[in-house]
Amino acid sequence: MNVRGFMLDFLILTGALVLQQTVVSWFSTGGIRPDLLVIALTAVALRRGPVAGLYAGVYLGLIQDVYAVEAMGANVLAKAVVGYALGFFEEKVMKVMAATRVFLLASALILHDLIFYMAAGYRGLFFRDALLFQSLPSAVYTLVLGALVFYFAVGFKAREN
Amino acid sequence: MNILGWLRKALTVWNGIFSFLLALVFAATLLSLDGPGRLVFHRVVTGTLLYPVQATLSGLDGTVALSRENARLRRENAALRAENDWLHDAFRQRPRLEAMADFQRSVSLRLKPARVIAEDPGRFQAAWVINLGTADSVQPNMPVLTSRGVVGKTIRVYRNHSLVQLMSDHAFKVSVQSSRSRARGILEPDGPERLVARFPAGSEVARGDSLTTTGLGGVFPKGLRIGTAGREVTRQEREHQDVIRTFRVEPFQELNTVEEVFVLIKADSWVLADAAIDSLDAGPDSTRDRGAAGSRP
Repeated sequence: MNVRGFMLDFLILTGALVLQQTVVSWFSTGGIRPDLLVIALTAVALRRGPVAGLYAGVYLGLIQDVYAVEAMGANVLAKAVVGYALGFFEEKVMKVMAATRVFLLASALILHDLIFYMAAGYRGLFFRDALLFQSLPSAVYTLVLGALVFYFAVGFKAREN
Repeated sequence: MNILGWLRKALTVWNGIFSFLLALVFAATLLSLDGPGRLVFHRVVTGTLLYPVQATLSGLDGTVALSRENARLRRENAALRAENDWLHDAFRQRPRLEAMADFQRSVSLRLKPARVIAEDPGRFQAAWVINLGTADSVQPNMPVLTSRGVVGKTIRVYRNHSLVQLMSDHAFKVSVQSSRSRARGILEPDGPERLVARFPAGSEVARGDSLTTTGLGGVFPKGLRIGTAGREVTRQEREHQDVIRTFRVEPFQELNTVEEVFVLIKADSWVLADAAIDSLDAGPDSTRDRGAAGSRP
């Protein structure tokens, strides 16, 4: 990865962090808000592969964990696994269609939340409720937003080509 | 193979797997931390890694806040400067207003204080506008004066303001007398910025005599201060020197510095006297010191 690509990814991830902490709260409906970090992580992992996805996940998860003392480590674990796993669908290795990207994003969201809840110690009904009433609506919201982002990103790339 | 060599090989060949395992170990370590350990980690990371970012963001935020505060302070400063100037002005005019109040209390005349709100925009001061009108019982031909002396009279009166004809107006005339010898004469402008008093030849008037109104015209009551007689105009300067003695007059009140004046609200007897004189219509000489009223277009 060249320096320019690294800087671009770093900017994407940092920008997602900033937006998640600031702008996203404006779009919150009933406590459900999109997860821009997973969208950014998915985008970086699909572009750069498993190692970059892993580092991106550690970077995002670590910063989240620093401010989430009670579940420290859970975000690093969830995002590192998701980033690493998504990296195997790197664009260089296989052609990823827009619909596939959305499917991968949905999988990433579910996988991320599953890992996070388990690592954070969610058990029983608490785990189920968090998954049903928090993760799934948030995943749908994020999917819609992610689909738009990927659509415009693909369009931009197509125009570039 | 030593440990470092093995690590280097792992990083190159098994880069992905090794990094992934390292991340898992790192996450597991974090998860295994107890409460105090997490707090220590939180403090260390925020105090070292994230501090520059936070400091930069705080600096940017502080710069924006400073910029906004600066703009607000500039506006506040401008408002305070204006207020300060206004207060300074009020403070400076306080002695003048106190003198006016003292003068108003000391005389038995019915005086109404007024503020000069506009003046003749021409090169020569000939008229002012004051902030009193018919709503304040002001009528045409009422004397306008300060605590130092007469400055003019009202000639046009509207509801809330009036036009004042100044002594410097070319059409202004008033009957005056020397307070020492009681010799009577006529005060009138001689040029845009000069007043003269004309007395009959043989009048006992000398330089330095105080001149006051005679009260003969019906506009100005007797005894209002006008100014002092200056040097007498020589024969070369003035024709008809044989029958008229002309003196320069230094008015007690400089017109350039006046901001507040009094309007002398005349008693009814004065108004009646005016009407009586008007009805007599005895010729131009009899209304000599009234002739200027309304003479301005």
